[in-house]
Amino acid sequence: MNSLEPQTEASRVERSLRHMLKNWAGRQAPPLDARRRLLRTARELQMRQTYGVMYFSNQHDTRSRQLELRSLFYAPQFSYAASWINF
Amino acid sequence: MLITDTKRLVLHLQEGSLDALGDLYDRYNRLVYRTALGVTGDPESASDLLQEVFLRLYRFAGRIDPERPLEPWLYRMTANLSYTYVKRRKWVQPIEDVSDWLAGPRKTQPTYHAEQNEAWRQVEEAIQTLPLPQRMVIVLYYINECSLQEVAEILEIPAGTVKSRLHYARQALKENMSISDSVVQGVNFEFT
Repeated sequence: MNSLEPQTEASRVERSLRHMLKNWAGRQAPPLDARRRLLRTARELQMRQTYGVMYFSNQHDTRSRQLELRSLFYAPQFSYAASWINF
Repeated sequence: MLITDTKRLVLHLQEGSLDALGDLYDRYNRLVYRTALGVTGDPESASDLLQEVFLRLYRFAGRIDPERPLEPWLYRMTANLSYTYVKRRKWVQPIEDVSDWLAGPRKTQPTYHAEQNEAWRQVEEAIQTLPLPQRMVIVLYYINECSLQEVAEILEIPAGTVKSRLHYARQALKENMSISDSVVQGVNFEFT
């Protein structure tokens, strides 16, 4: 568009929205420990699948599942596995 | 061996490689996080959804076609999980409000909001006032810069529906953000 051409209201709004939302998005980043948390949970899941311990319930949120997994691996019957997995 | 492309990473992931999961996370975590944050408006929930999406990627890697781009799968999964989360929150929120009240003031919220200037808070609040279907479209189209056709494919709706949702969402945002020179100047643009 020719820069001397007057902008319509719609294009001005569109441009403003695009800038605002794009820059808002550029400022957002996940917590620093999210990667470590993900890989730890995935490793626990991998171990769980490998040893066929139990079906992974789909009815809890992520945090509950992590607590569930943690409690599972710290249960006495799995303490040996937990000791060498070194969580 | 240096793994560079997504296809190769997905193939490794299908073999159960945690390194591949880490590399894919490095590549796509912002995409998933900002989508979840745009839809839910809550950093803690977005963080949980981020975990959930990548755990599903890991669990269901075998169902992913390595020949196709991964972004649409990630967008679709994030959109679906965020949608479910927001719907469920409507029912859970009153209980959480009581438990928050019982637990006392939250420490994280004031800190988080203190870091945001007024204009950015206005942007966040304006997005959250949109009905969920419009919010989804805005997040994918403006925040993630997907094309109309891509948004339609991700949300599995006709392109015409995407256009009309965009139209109404734009109008609402214009009013809610009271787009004027003062607001635009108030936002500290950082081109990233």
